[in-house]
Amino acid sequence: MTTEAPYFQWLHRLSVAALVVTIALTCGIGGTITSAEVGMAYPTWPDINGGSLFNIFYGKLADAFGLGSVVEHTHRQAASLTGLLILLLCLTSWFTKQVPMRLRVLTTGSLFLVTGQGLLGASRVLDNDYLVAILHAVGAQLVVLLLVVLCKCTAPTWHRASEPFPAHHVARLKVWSVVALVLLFLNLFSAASLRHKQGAFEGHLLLAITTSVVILFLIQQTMTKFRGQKRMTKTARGLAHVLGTQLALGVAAWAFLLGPLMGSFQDEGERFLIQSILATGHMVCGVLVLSYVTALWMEARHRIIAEESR
Amino acid sequence: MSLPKADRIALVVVAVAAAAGLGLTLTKPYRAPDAEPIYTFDTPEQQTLFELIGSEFGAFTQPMVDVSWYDGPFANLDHGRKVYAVNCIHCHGSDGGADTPTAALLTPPPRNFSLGYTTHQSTPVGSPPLREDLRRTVLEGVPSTSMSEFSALSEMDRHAAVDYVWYLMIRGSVWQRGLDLLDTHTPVDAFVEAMKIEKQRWTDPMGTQEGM
Repeated sequence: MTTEAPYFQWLHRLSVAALVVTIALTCGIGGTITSAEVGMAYPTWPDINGGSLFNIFYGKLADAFGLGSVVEHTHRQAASLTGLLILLLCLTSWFTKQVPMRLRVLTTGSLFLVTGQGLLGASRVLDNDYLVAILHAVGAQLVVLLLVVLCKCTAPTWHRASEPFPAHHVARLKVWSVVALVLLFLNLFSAASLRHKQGAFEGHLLLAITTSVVILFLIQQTMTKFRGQKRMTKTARGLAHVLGTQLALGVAAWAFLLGPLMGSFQDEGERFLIQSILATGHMVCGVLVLSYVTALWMEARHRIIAEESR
Repeated sequence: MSLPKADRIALVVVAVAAAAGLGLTLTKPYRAPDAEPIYTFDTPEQQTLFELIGSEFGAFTQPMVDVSWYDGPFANLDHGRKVYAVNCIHCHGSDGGADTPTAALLTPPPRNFSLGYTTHQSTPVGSPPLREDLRRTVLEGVPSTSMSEFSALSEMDRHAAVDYVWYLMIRGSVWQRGLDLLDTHTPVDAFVEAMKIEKQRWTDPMGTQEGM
């Protein structure tokens, strides 16, 4: 094990870097693009104004096509960085000795997924189809999910033996965390429909309430049945915090975008700014909720596997 | 291992709620915003003119226009407003004036419909375009600009959106014309005169009846 540790550490570092870049930059800027509706600011792909994806010519681009094209360009660059980090992750897993095959499969799967996601992004720009835009939003969360899995199972503390727990508690947690993940993806599809097509609010509301109830149950189960497990209770506490923030942002976004505060703005600029901040914050917070639920699911799954191998 | 009975019942409830949520998502695709554009007026006369135009053309969220303005059969304006709200409003604005924060991020800026003409039209420069011109622009887009093609929209949606744009252009033209006339006319007279001039322009965009 000791000889594997440095290599796994690199896999872990790359996984964490890819996850941070994906959530903070790629999803964050992607969400901003949807909020500001500047995805089509420069409707070609992959070239932009005669420059490649890797050109840093923001001033020139802003002069020629406006600031919106700069936002779109930085999203493409952030997505390329995500892709590059995942490519490195994949190569490291294959060229490092003694890395388990399941990890190599996971990194390769991530590479295929992020490539497909890039092609979906291209199709979104070239075809200008909202269904593709919705699928592109869902695809980004799948990449996040896989990166969270990679972060967890490459972590140095991952293989430390955990206290044995009653099998029914672990199985229950695993089932409900899978249910929460499925609900989160359905909710995400609904939310993306709402953002891209200005519709489906009722569907999003119903799914959001259902998902929140299931996640609250997950948090309660973890805090009471796995009290001695620091890693799990820490994850549950983090999940509680992001869920609380997410619900507050959701209510605020509804009030200002569709509800009673919709007409409370002084001018269109103020309306745009507040609505963009709330909608983008709600979207990024949703990604964090997904990450924490994935982490809890991994913890439950890990304990079942450990129990079976005892 | 099997789950407790309470969990199995809860799973069924969650599945039903999820199916209902997904069903609502798929069956209610459009919801046009109910907010009217925020207008600020420099003078009380401008506000009176705006209200007079509203009495003729309705609110932006409840559009109406007399059939005599159209160059042919017109579609459901309410549906057009919904398609416009999803696809066009961020750049062109809820009143078609293209004075939106998103528009400020784009170069060249999106078309201001209230000017009453476009740069891609078969009619003389400065004249109102034909709806066919607008349909072509929506279908094919404008190269080297942020106006991309909307070929993914159904033909019905494209036609409805164009009809709503047409409505915004007519309404915007009357508003702009009325503003020009306010210097020398009362709001009521400016409104009546603007309606007369613009109706002539919009029902005869090629200028064939000019001087008749």
